[in-house]
Amino acid sequence: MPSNQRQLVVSAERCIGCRACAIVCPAGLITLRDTDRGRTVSFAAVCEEDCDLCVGACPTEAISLPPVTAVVSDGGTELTFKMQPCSECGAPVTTVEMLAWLRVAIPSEMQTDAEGQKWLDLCPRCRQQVEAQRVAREGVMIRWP
Amino acid sequence: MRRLIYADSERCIDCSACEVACERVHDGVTNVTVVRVEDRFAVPLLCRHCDPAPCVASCYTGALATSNGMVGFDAALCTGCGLCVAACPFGVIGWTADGRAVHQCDLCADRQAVGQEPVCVLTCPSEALSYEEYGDFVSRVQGRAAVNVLRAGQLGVRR
Repeated sequence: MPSNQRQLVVSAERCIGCRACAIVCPAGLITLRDTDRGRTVSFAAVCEEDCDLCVGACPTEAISLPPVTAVVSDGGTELTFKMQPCSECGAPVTTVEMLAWLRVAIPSEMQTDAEGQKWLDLCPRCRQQVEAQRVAREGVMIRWP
Repeated sequence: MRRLIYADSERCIDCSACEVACERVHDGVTNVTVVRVEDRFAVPLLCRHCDPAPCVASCYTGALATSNGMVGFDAALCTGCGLCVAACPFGVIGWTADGRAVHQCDLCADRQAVGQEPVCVLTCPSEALSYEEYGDFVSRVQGRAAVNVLRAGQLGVRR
């Protein structure tokens, strides 16, 4: 067994299902899959790389790389996340957990726009539509005051 | 006062030239999107450089940070987590072509360093996009609206 073999441990309570670790992992030990049913993040059981990019990239400190102490099962960890549907069109915005994280990270006075629109519930495309319609309404008032 | 890119939807002709120009300068991804509303208006949307900004509040690595009145982005610090994409109120933070990082309007910093204006502003054929201070933008647009109302009155347009 190589000496630098470590367990890839992820906390299911802390992980919010973002893409950071899957993107930074140079060995492809963490993969992310978006389907109709939700997002699945798969973590390998062990890591043999001399690297801790995933630990540093995680916004919630959910990942740790403890030394291998006993026989590690081959399966690894698979976490599934529910996607929040857009309140306008129903398209997935992002994971429910990521939005919950954002509601804490973003000051509450910033979570609604001038017209009281709760934009965190909308997908990016609908946010663009809402903003364009607001601008258009102003334009109507300029053209036909 | 900071200068930003402002979009005058009254003048926008929905030609998408700004999107193409932005793509050309920014490695094939555009930071400006023209959104059409019911065939009557086209609204170019791009980063407002909010201050304070929800995307900056959501970025835990400091890749997005406010400096000199604009939201700066350091690609080297981006983990590609996607929190800022979900945090932007205007939906104007996008993914790079490989989906590993985000991109956002940098007001064409490279071009400004050599004394050129942002490429979308330069390209816009109808002068709907401008790079100026907010006060200048508002007084110009409001001034035009006032002139229009006056002219309508002189021509005897029924209201």
